[in-house]
Amino acid sequence: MSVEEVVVIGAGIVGACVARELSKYENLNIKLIEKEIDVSCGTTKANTGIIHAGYDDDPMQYPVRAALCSKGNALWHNMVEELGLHVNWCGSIVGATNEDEITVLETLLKRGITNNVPNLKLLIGEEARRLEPKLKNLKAALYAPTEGTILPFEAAIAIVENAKSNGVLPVLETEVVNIEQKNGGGFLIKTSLGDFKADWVINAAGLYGDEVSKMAGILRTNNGVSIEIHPRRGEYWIFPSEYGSPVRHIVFPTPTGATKGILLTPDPEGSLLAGPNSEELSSIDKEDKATTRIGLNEVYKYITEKWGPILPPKNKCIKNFAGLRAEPQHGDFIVEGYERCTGFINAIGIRSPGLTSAPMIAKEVLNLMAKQGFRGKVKEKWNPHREPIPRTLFLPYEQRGRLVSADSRYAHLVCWCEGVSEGEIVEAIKRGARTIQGIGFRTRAGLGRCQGMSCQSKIVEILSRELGIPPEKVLLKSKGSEVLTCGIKDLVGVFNEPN
Amino acid sequence: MNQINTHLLIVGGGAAGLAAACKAYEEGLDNVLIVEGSKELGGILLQCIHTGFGLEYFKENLTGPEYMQRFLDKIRKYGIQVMTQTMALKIDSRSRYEHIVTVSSPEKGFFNIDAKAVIMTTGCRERGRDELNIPGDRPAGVMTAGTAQRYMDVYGYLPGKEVVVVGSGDIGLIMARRFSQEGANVKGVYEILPYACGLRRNQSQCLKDFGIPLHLSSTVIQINGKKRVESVIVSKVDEAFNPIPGTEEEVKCDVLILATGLLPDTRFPKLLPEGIGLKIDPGTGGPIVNDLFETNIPNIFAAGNFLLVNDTVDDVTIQGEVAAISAAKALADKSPVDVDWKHAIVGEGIRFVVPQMFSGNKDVCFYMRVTRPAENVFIEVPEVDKRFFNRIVRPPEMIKLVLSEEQLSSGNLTFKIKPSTSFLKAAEPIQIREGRTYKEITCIVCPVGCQTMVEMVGDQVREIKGATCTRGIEFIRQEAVCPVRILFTVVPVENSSSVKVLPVRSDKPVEKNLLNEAYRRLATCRVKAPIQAGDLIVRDFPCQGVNIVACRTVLS
Ligand SMILES: Cc1cc2nc3c(=O)[nH]c(=O)nc-3n(C[C@H](O)[C@H](O)[C@H](O)COP(=O)(O)OP(=O)(O)OC[C@H]3O[C@@H](n4cnc5c(N)ncnc54)[C@H](O)[C@@H]3O)c2cc1C
Ligand SMILES: Cc1cc2nc3c(=O)[nH]c(=O)nc-3n(C[C@H](O)[C@H](O)[C@H](O)COP(=O)(O)OP(=O)(O)OC[C@H]3O[C@@H](n4cnc5c(N)ncnc54)[C@H](O)[C@@H]3O)c2cc1C
Ligand code: SF4
Repeated sequence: MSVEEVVVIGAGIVGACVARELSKYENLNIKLIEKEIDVSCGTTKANTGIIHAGYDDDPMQYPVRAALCSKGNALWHNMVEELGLHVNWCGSIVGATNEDEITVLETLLKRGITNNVPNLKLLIGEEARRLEPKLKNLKAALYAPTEGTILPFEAAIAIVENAKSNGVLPVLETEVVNIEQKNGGGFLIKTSLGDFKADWVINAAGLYGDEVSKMAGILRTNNGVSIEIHPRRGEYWIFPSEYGSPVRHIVFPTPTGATKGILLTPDPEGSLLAGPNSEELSSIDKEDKATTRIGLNEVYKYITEKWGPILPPKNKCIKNFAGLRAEPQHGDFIVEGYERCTGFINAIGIRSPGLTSAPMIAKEVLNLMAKQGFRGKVKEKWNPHREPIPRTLFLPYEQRGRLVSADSRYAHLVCWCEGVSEGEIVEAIKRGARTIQGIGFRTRAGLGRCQGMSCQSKIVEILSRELGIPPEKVLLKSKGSEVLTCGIKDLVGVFNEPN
Repeated sequence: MNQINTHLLIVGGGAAGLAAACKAYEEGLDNVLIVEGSKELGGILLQCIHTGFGLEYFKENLTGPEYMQRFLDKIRKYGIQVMTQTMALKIDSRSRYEHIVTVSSPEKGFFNIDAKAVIMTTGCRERGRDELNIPGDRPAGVMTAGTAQRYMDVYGYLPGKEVVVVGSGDIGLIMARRFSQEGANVKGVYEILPYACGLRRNQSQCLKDFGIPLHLSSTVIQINGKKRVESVIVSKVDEAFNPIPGTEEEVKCDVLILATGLLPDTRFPKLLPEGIGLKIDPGTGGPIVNDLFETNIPNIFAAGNFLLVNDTVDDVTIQGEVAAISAAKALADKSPVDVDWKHAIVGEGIRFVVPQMFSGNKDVCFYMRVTRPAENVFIEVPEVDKRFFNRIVRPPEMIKLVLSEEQLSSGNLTFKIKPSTSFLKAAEPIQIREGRTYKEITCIVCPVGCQTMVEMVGDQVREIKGATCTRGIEFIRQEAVCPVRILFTVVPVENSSSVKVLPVRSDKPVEKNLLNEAYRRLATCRVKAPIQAGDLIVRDFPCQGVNIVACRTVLS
């Protein structure tokens, strides 16, 4: 049987899951092409990280979301184990504070049952407040025990590592600029790094999914909706674990409009996320991840007015950030193939709950390929596992001893807030970290209380040594984000007299 | 797990830790161990290459590295045991004389140190961007002053060419000067408060000398730049520190330096969830201590910036010594201490008082800060009817008050601010006369910082107007006739893998107007290890009779 060439465009959570799913099959040559220097640099790195239960998506209005989300949730329960991910299966509540809202909860409960969400419960009064004693004005709650939180960047990185061990080739720092359909089938993918041949192209380019789709000549969905992706921004506050989370579950307000509202989320590391709000960006700038005073205040005020003064003071914030939702025209995922362009499959418009749905989107992509004649044979030996980078400090005594005697750098702590060793950082670089952010995503170095102000210089030194580049070339997160400018004496030679 | 034993363990080898170790040895303790998480001892002093250290303790004007070197030399002479790259992770205090400290080092792995007493001197950390809630992009080039200082004066790299500094405390002012010395363009220092926070000396020698503008009641409200900082938006603020619409202005820059305050570094106990159970004073952010500098855990002492954020290293050193003397006593005399501790109560206008408890059995130096600036006030201790007059008090300047055993024996004491009715004579309005030449000079001899006008006849001083006392006259005269400064900078070290740059200084003050040219000419200077502190680096530079010398020792 001949080998088929597959190009997956975009190494976010969707592209990662698709690549991993494809890697289960024989005779595929899979390339995961990503324009950034690392995987998970798009929407996947900045979101709430919730594995939703799936009661929220109306099957009439958003059939694709409704079909994929709850199944995606079930797949994640298995995947976090296979991949050794940090997870907090804390469950969620949608909280109602008045009678009208309780009616909405009833609708959500019914919808959840339609969408096959397991174990949903509507709790009234005391029963609801017992779950969240600090939310004094809680009148009722829709409780979804299958919900939880993961670290989305860790997940995407782990999935790509696992896919790599099953034969997928990640091609980073390579932007797809055009897609040519060859006569007699197949594609030529034009990139900043040269051309790639492909029998199958899966578009998982996130916010740029519309542009990539256009390259293949697909401007409308099979239902005739124009394919346009708009950025919709959400801003967050993160408060570190040392202040203790006021809530034990993910807490949603009762939904009113297009989004799930501004929520409280305990992350797997014990930090508390407050956000996101929802701002339609007037600009077409798909990189505008700036936080704003107005947006951040909106989030803080909303939570405080809704639930009372339960957030830590603003100056205890560990980090503010913003993410961009890839919003399609009609609000539903676009996961489809096209008769007019066989072999090209879109997996775009993956707004929320895209993280949750991603593993199921990947399975759907395989279905679509099968419909177009893909007859792949499942590998006999496929490795579902990925070893996480050991967190030395938190290992049992024996294990830690073994690790340290094999490599003493595991006993040299570099990041003091999170307790990350040099050994872990070097291992992260071996696994593909190229930037300070890449190290943070893989080890948590620099993500703690002091946000890297004590360890960043040491990490720059390690990156410089391991990558064989001068310190002034070390990047924070992307090309052009050098932390240092030049040698200490490089400017003073052209000293200007002060006035 | 492997275990070693020591009598006194010192956690953190900065100024406080070094002083504590030396003093403990001098008090007769011979089993003292310092663990330091970094590669080198010295802590923050390693990166503070400017002068202004040791004015009280050594009665000399030293650079940070020189100050540090004096203690390092003693540590070596006394043969005190030191473990570097050894990070303390947790303390399990089993009894007054048994503290099991878990540490890790690449050399020895994870192991326990069983100490009879512990002094914690782990310093402080800076406030970062997110604690200030500055919105905008999240590019490279936003960093705290300490991080920038480390990049420049320990690693030998410049983190930017066009600089905006937030915060007018000493650290912000000193970094503004450091960037200027290395040829960067400092666009301005922005301070949210209506007054500058740093010492007069630094306001004058860091900003005025380099023509750097200081903007009061102003702050950065937005950061722009997707990859690297491209500009910031600055704005005036109102009394409640809210930005005033319409006053926004964009300032182009490629690095934003945050110098907005320090907090004692209590991360160490936070690292592992169990912590060590130190009781924290919300006023200082550091542990609550008695006049032995002992925390709520018996025989665990605290000193330096871990105890409270200090202005000067001299105070840090003294605190280290007090803790060491206390530890030595505790170890010599094992009888249980049963003291009825009295409390220092924080009264009107005061933010904190350290130590928070005292025995009344000895004299105590209390450290305190006020909540807001005030002129002509008393620090009052009503219980013993004591008042101490202050011409000027400001939150950035620590107040020290020594009370005698006798005054302390009565019971709890309250410290508060009380306005004075007997005003000191205010400076007379200065009359400028037509046709005469004046120089405007700020006196930096004391915190009052008089703005003086010096009338010149040729290059001689004829009259000084506006000084409210005579102590400053000598300084003012010198500034008017021929201002001088100590030259200090770093010089790249060519052949050392551990030390990238050598801090150097001039052994005598240099005429101010020679400095810029001197910094430029020194840019090409390179040195080779080994180097001893005090070694001659350049003779007769930048003028006859002045030499450039090394501030620290670098072994090969
Ligand atoms: C504020 C917010 C909160 C959210 N919360 C949740 C949640 O709690 N739970 C949940 O399930 N979902 C959530 N989502 C949705 C979820 O984050 C997204 O659905 C998911 O991350 C989308 O992944 P992706 O792989 O499609 O996109 P991305 O992560 O953006 O990946 C696309 C990748 O394609 C690359 N790329 C683009 N163009 C090209 C090109 N021409 N050549 C090569 N590479 C290219 C990009 O660089 C990028 O890395 C949230 C989203 C936001 C914004
Ligand atoms: C920019 C700047 C300018 C200054 N200018 C002046 C001046 O002009 N004049 C003046 O008198 N003073 C000045 N100071 C103040 C003075 O230098 C400091 O207050 C003093 O050096 C602090 O000493 P320290 O020992 O308390 O803390 P540090 O010097 O911070 O030492 C703490 C040490 O503990 C180590 N440590 C931390 N945690 C652990 C752990 N868990 N295990 C092991 N080791 C650990 C750290 O690595 C560090 O070496 C300045 C300070 C700064 C930052
Ligand atoms: S003149 Fe006297 S009072 Fe005024 S600043 Fe100088 S020393 Fe202080």
